[in-house]
Amino acid sequence: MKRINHDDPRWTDFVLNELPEHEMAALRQVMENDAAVQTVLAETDQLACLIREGFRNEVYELGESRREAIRKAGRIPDKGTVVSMTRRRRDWVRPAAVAAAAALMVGCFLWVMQQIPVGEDKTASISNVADSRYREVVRRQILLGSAPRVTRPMAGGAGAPLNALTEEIPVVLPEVPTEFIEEEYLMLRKLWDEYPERFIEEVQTATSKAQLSMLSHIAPMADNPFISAESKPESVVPVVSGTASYQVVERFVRGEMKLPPRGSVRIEELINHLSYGDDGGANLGKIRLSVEIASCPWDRELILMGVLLENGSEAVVASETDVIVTMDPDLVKSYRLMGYAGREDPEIEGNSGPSSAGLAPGRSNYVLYQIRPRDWGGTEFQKVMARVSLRAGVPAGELVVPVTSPPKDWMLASSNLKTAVALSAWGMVLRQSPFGSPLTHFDIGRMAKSALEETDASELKRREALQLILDSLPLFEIDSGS
Amino acid sequence: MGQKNTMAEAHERFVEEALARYEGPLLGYAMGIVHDLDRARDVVQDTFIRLYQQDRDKVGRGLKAWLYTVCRNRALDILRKERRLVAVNEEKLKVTEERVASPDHSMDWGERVSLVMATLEKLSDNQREVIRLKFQQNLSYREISEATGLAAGNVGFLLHTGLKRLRSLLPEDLLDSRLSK
Repeated sequence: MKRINHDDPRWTDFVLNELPEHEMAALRQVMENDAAVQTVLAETDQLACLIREGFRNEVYELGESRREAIRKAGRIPDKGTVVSMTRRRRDWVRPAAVAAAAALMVGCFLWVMQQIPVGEDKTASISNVADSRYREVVRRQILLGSAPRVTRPMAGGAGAPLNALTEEIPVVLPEVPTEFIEEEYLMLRKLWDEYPERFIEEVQTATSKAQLSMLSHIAPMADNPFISAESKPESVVPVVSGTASYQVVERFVRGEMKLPPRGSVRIEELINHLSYGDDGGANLGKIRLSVEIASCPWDRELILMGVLLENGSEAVVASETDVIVTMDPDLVKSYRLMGYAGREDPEIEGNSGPSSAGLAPGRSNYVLYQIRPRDWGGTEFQKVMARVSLRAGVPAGELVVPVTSPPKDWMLASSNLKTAVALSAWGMVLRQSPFGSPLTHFDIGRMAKSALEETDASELKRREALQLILDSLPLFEIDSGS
Repeated sequence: MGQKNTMAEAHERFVEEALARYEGPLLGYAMGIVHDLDRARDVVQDTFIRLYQQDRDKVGRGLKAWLYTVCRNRALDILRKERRLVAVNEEKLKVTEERVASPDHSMDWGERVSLVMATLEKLSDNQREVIRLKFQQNLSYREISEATGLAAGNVGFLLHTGLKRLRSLLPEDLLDSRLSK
């Protein structure tokens, strides 16, 4: 029998008798020959006894008056009119499913629109790739909101190849023409319009068929490099269109108890799985822009800049919104957009188009930059090192937020920045990004813990995300074989 | 009419039995979430009122999981509504820290139990929650999964990391086999 690390979670399952009998027997055999495991198990067992005893000692009572109140309240309604919890639950399942499907469609639409390059020479032939199995892969990816990448010319170099192929459908194709995705999209759109129930079934089928194993085939895209502020002072702040990567990472950490495949980790999706709000931002119509800079906790020579965009409208998609960061080359040597690997080229020429197809009502978008100042001595005060411009459609106009040195000390950074940085640093370590090389999972743990301590108990989603980071830390140790 | 009365009486008995059996454990569980005895009592009272109004057949054998699910949802509702900071029992933590810093080698079983329970407060909310469900009520991973909505694998993982962290926070000799009860 293979040796099992005494820190393996299965030993806890073993002590708690939560394994099938054949696994229990196998582990029992290992235990008999491993003194270290026996010690750990004895300690766990004793700890369990202490905890049980502690809970037994707890004496909590409702009190007779409350018990009587329960009885009285229970007698009031006629048993014939009892509301069934199951039935009530069903009441919201259907609208919720429809709403989720609609949101998914909108997301897909926005994504597809983003992927269609204007004026591109459409030379690829659909017939060359009209393979039914291949269509299924593409359709599934569209339905799951992790649509395939299109090879397209980008200012920074070659486009991204499609790598996400399932084990069960081993189709290898060099690229996906945009027409092909459009065709699949239109087909699904028609299905949604005409047979919404069948569309929902398609989503459910795609979900059930999706295998986590397929994600291990995704080759990681190269991270965005540092860009010279002198040669490219301007960059467009992109808007995230999905947060599927967070769910994938969560499923691996929680469900599989493994670190996720590098290629499945998208930093911008980890960050924007959460909503952010900042009352101190500047408004342009219903759009609010907040910018914050702080020292980088893992590299003294870097500054971190968080750009938060919030759409305060209740119904209008901020489709004409454009956010542009302009660095001052006299003060900034280079900068780097964190995340968006292979998805967004920060060296976009001209910046003529909007940041994205739009920011949904009530949503926020958080983007992080790493900035390398020029000859930074930490003594430059009140100098405008960058400007962040928010341009909205007519008649709203333009808003410019100057980014003034010096950056805040990291400890004084806002909860938003601390949370977003903890998530992005975690993402960099999971992706084994060269830009996160000085970071260890211990550093990530400290950042996540610090952010968690500043997070209100009512912000459950944020707490869960930070807790997920903390809960993933032991997996780094297991994976490294220690 | 008579049959209706009999059914109502049976339903009352069902709730009374549940009350007698689960009142204390549910209060402890709700306390672990809302950290306030009065609010915990509100939560549990509301849980049993809902049980009264629930079709007994639909709760069936899953009574325990049903009670914990409803209790959990009500407690979280209260937290959301009140946007309350969870008040950590400072006194308890202080005592814990002092004891961990200078472990008393002559601690008896009762003292060790108290120390373990106080140290539990230092775990994350979800770790503490699954530990309570596992060790207080002896719920299986599957039942905990039903009550909390967590995946069963995740329940095991949280228990593992929670117990591991608890061990690391306790004095090294606390779990020495020579000190067993």
